[in-house]
Amino acid sequence: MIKGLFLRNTAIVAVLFVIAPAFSNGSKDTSLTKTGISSGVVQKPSQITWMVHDGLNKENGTAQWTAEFERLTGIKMNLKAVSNNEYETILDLAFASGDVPDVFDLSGSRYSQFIKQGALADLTDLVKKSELWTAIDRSIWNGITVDGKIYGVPKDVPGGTVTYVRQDWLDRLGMKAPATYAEFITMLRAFKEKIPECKVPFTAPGLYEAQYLREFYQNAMPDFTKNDKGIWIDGMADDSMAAALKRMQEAYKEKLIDVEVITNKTSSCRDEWFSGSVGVFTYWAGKWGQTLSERLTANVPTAKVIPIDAIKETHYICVAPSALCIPSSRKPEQVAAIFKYFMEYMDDGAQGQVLFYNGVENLMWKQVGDHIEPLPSLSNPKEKLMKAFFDPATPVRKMKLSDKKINYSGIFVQSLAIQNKDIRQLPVQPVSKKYVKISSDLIMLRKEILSKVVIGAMSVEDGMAKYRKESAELGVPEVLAEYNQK
Amino acid sequence: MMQERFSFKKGNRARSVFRICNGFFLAITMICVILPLIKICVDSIDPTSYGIRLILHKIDFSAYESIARNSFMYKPFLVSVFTTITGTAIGLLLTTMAGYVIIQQDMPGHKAIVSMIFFTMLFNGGLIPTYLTVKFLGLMNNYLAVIIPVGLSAYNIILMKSFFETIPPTLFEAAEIDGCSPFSVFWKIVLPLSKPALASVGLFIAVSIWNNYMNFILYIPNPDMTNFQVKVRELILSDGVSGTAITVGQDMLKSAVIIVVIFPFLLIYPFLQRYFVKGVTVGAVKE
Repeated sequence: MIKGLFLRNTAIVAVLFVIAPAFSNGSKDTSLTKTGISSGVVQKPSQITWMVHDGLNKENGTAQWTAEFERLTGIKMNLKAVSNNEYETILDLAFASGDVPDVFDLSGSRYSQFIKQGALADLTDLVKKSELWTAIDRSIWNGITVDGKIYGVPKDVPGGTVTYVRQDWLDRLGMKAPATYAEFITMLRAFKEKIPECKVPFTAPGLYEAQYLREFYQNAMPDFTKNDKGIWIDGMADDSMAAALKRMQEAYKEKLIDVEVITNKTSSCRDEWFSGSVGVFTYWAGKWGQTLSERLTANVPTAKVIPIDAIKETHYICVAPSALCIPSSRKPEQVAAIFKYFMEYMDDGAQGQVLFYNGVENLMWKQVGDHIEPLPSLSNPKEKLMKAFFDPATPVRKMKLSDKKINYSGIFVQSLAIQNKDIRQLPVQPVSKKYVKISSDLIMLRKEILSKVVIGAMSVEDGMAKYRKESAELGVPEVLAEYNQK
Repeated sequence: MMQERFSFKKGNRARSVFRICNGFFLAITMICVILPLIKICVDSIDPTSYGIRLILHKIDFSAYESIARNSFMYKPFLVSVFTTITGTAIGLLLTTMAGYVIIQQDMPGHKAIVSMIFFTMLFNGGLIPTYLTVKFLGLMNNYLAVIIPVGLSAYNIILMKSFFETIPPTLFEAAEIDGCSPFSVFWKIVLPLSKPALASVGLFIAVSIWNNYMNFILYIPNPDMTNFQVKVRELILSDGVSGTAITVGQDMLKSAVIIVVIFPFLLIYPFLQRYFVKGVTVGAVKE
């Protein structure tokens, strides 16, 4: 009897636990008070929640920044700063728990996947009616347009990489910067054989990211891409990839490419570079170029770094920009309010843009004549705070104010100029249900083939044959059929 | 234990060969364990270190200075110390009480309760259900969210139960006859006899809470409440995107951070070792 009573009570408790959530309020939309569009006017929200994973942190003054935002706009800013490495996990959890922020950013395949799952608000009409449509370059909008619709506002100008070379080593060898692949390889050989401190002629963080190995990939691409006729193809199965693999295999065999290239991370490549043992490194243009140069010369005072033009056989590439998005769970009037009072404000070319890009005046920057001078960061006074949340060196739209220029010089400007000379933006992949299912297996297969062929464990022909066979089995033809239908 | 003669004479030969092979195997194991630690130490003070080089070419403590001078690290360090000490105490209390309850064979529902606890050892709800449970319980931004999941685990409860079963039940009977309540038996008889188990389980819990990273990221979004592990990770990542100034190399900083993080337990462990050796064989021999 006692046992029966115990079992009955346990069952009742278990049932209560299961049905209790049904009586909860579910996903609480606490971020905005009731807003409505009355007579075509978008009402200002009382609060906006923004999830960020880069830019200012607590030590650098997020409290002061949010206070300034509230002072200027009259809107309470609820800034949710999360770790960059865990941002994707935390954003997924936010969606799962119904506690989605009003604004968050997405990039690459994540942007397409969220669109496919209906998680993002369609901003096409709002964008096309706003000033941002004409103020931001059309090519940047194209980078985040999927199936003719826009689901976000560009967060940054698409960035690309350039190749940096040790100018001092070139001078010692009496050589010029290479203009062709043959000259490039000759330079790497000369570094290896004639420069004693050169341990690694060329380094890269892995073999899969084509932007770090431009001279070797040239116009091959280990991913889906468009051919000259505008048709989507699998670049990894294309004939141009066989030539690229051959180049990498030969260079690796001669130890012109870092022997640890497969396991390298960007941080280990940078550290190798800073130690002064690397001759050539392809990395991001702009601020990173300046960092690569300054830290190298701190360790090796005689070192000189130059970014070089793309060799004749290739061009530099940039990825699609990341976008700031609004969740589709918000009502249309709330979406309109967030768009107007946050997204338009952050790229207004004036006060709002200065706040988002440079930060708080007299705390993070000061006015010097018609220029903005960054101030030492609060967390590390030895460093200047170069940006608040977005990079002022590459704003998505030009500043309207004439007294908010920023001085950049040297390798910063040089690398950006070289990058922009002949940069190509990679096409945005459309949304494909099949690709979502096979993407991790496909990427793993590609990395396996690349690694095995480059280190010599497999011939180029065998590698290409294996990839073509196994990728077809995974379903790549279906992915291409979906892409080319659009 | 008798002192055995190391000799290759008949009768001692096999034992001597065994001792040689044993020593050789343990030496290899020790090298495999110590070499990475030495490499990390070298990387943390030699900015020119590269590959598998173990010899110091240059000594530079700037990575450690960078960590020590960063005053934003102090509060997270204290948070880590606080959560580790508190969490270990709470974890040990709950684990020992749970283990003591489980060994009461005459308790109604004893089998069902033990089965449910054992079930959680085999199957986990997953990230999202766990996150929703913590949120539903109102434990976001609460240190209990990082202490309880780590401090109270089925594995440790089973371990503790196994140790308690080695205590002669006659001791409990004698205590009850003398008028001890069940709680008094637990507090005055069971716990004092469980020092090895307490030390080993306590060490498991302390190390887990000290190294806790993901739980803090997920359940303690408040940056004022974050722990040392999260902060050092931020320190490493933020160093990689600095603007104009020169800072410590990332690999050097990472290596210094590893040394700083493991240093407390490197200090404590020798004092707990004798308990730990006894504790790891808890329940291995049944009378």
